Amino acid sequence: MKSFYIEFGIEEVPAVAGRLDIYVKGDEVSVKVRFGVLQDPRFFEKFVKKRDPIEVPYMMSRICGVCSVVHLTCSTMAIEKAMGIKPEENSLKIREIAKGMEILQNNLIHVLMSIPDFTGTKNALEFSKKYPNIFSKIMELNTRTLDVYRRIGGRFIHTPSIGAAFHGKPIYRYELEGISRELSNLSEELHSLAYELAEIWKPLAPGFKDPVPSYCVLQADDGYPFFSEKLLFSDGQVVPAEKYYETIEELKIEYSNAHYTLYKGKPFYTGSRARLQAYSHLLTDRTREVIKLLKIDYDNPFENVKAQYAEAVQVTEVLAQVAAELAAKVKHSIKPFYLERRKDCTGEGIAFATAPRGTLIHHYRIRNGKMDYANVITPTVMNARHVEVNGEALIRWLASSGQPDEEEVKPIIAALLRAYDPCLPCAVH
Amino acid sequence: MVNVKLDGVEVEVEPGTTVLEAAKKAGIEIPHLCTLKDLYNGASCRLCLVKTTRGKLVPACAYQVYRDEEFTVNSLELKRIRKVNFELLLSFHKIECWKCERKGDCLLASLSQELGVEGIPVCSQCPLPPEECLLTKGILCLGMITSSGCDAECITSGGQCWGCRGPITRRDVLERAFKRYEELGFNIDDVLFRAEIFWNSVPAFEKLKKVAAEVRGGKK
Ligand code: SF4
Ligand code: SF4
Ligand code: FES
Repeated sequence: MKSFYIEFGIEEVPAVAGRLDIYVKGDEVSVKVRFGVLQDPRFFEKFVKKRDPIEVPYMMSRICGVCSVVHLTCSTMAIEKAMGIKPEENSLKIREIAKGMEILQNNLIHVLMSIPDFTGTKNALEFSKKYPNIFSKIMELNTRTLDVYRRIGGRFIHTPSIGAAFHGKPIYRYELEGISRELSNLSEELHSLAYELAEIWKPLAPGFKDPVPSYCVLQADDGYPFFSEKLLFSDGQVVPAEKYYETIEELKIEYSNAHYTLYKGKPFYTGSRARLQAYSHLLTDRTREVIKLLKIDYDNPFENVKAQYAEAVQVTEVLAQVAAELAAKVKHSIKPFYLERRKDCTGEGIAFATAPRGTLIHHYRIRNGKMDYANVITPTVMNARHVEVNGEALIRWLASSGQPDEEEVKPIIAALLRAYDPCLPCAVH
Repeated sequence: MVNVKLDGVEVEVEPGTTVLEAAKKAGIEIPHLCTLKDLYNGASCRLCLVKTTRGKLVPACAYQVYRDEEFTVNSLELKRIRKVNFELLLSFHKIECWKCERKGDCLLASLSQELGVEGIPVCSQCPLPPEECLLTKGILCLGMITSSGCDAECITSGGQCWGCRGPITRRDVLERAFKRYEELGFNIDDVLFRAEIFWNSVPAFEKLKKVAAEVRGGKK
């Protein structure tokens, strides 16, 4: 390797929610990339203590305004487990649809925010001027996704109708049928849009390979998983809920307000790129076609954005099926219900959910009807160390033919971070 | 025909037309409450006040134009005046929206939202009929003590009100609300504990707690 020296900081990364800075320093012997979350800690795990457990999902949903549904549902599942409540089968399906709709909506918006990196445009605004049709098509798909969501859950952000031991919105059979139809339409349109995207989408750093390609997803026991009781790592290890704590090592980092995580002493990643690989046997034909069209290279971390698009197609198809099956089962409507709960219960509950950005863990203990302990591990936390390691490898890769130009390195490091779709408020929860 | 100019928008009307009708024709909204076409134009609520070029305030529902004239119909000053008038009107309205048959479709509620008047609870916009109020099913809802203006979003979506819009400040409404919580078997401490989630650092919460303590104390 030729010698080089590089040192710079980036204070703001556009199209990333929250405050962070990136610091890069090093030469051919060693180069360090530091990804510091500056967002102030928010103490969610602390302030739910002593509260009534059924309040907790609504509070936890406030961890993030972008992906509130996954925090709400994951927390709901964990609380129900801790309280020893079995929710109705149908309401579980509703939660699945709600969860999936959020992945769809988030993925679409994130593709729109990141696609400028891959099309030689500066930002989404410039992209919208250069490719007005694609831009407005994605916006339209996003709006229609939200419309479908409204029929399932009501309000999208901090959905009030889903909660522990509770389902609040009547959903009629004809609505479910309509949702299934609309999702099939969405899937078709996403598929045809993929042809246009494939034409303009230039890969970033083609040939660059992720040096630590290990990932963590949910174990799929029964179809494309949105919730699960087990984690699956890329080396094949399946981790049951009660063992997650021993498997995922959480580190306190001095330059960041968020914790970082390791698996067997090494960083790992999570998100759409991981999921498409782990669930390759579950992908629909249409998704496979889109993956082929977009020429997704799973070894390249930038390709996570493409994976998000392909996953959007997968999710629409899976959900269309779930909604159709549910419609066939329901006679007239799914009625709201409140389940009885014991006021003085004691127990522990852990739930894993597929968040748009990766794997989410909520873990609670209840003692005598009051919250006693809470732990949340978010996808951004899981990805944090992985971004750094990839950033370091990327700089070495860029410098392999001599001193890299700082002005060229900066945007590509920012694009790398963006490709992971980090959410900093979630990271510091 | 005469020419009426409303906030710069010109409209041609028959002589004798009221400013309110002229505004309707021009597509301009003026809040109004008491007037009823062909039945009542006593101009008693004073919500529709508009301003002439000479600075006089006149009720749009009763003031007829016979010559070319100009009016200011919407301005911050007018909004402030209308707000005060509306607050005075509301002050002797017994607010018990949770029991009201008109809830979910209430002119007073929508006017208070439009004019920024606080004191009407979320229940005023709640779509559930009084007999289906969540409280009657034992589900804690903070609608009665929370300021309206959200179209009762959460209840419409199938949930309960958690009080995100902040507490009501009107004492008599709070008293009635806490009495009802007690009547329906809720512990006021539980209500306040729930309210703490959103209102912990809201100054008006302190006042609300005092009212709650009095209601509880009065019963002893
Ligand atoms: S459900 Fe809530 S908002 Fe509706 S009337 Fe009852 S207390 Fe008021
Ligand atoms: S929680 Fe907020 S948005 Fe929901 S009903 Fe209450 S005041 Fe309205
Ligand atoms: S509407 Fe009441 S005074 Fe005009």
